[in-house]
Amino acid sequence: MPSYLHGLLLSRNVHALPRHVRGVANAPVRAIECGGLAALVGDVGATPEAALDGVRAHDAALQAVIDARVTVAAARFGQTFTTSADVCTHLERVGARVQRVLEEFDGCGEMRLLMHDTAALDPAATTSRLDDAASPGRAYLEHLRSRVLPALRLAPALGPVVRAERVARMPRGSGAVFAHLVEFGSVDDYRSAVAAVPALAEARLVGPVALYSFAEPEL
Amino acid sequence: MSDPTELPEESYEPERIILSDLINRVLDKGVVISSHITISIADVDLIDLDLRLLISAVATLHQRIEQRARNAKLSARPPAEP
Repeated sequence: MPSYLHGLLLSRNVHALPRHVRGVANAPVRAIECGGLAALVGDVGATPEAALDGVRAHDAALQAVIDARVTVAAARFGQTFTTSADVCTHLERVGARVQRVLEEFDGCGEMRLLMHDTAALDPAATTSRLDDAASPGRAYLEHLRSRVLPALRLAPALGPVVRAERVARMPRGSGAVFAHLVEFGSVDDYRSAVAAVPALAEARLVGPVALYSFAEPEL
Repeated sequence: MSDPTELPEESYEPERIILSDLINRVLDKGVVISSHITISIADVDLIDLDLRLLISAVATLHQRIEQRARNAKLSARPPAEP
């Protein structure tokens, strides 16, 4: 039966996984150890559907792990392997990089600050919008650049409670997602730090969740 | 699957933002260890290609639509007085 991949964690943390976790297709989730990494997989009958239920189930399995304070790197939705052994074979390509991230940030979860409008934080954004009308070509290039290399940073304002930060533009509009790696024991301090920044009053805070943004190579 | 990018611009209710982030991060973030990702809808494999290419293609499509609308607005303006 095909194995569906939910996420990756350090093999040494497998003992701390919660029991009876279910994932995509309501399949029980188990860990397969591949050297220093372990893969969280569930046996599924068919390719998962890109429906909201599947997305929620993928995330819920990872959330159960995070709720047990085990750091886990999320896998991209939709990765199914013929056998469990195939998962380990495929891991060889990116395993070393993911293991480095998990080793460095073991004990952390990802906090996500969602802002639908960052104009208050980013004076340059106003300039960009004015440029839109003057030069569509330039605006297009600016838009591409801003998706890859956002200039915004919140970590300096939030202090050392933030171990690492990645920023991405929301797919539409002028919003941004700030992903912060925070130790499980510092989540309350992080929330207090966010609450102390007036410009973040309208931001929505989600987390801790699995390492989604930090599971990818830096662009 | 409902596409969060189809929401009206003014739809910034917290629940929608959070749901949009959930969908975007699960479908567009995370470790990729397989070169192909297959996603099906209603038991039919509709997507069987590199998801990064797909996401890029959708993003580019959105940008082109927005660009076309912007250009149309500009060309509809009356010419400036000499």
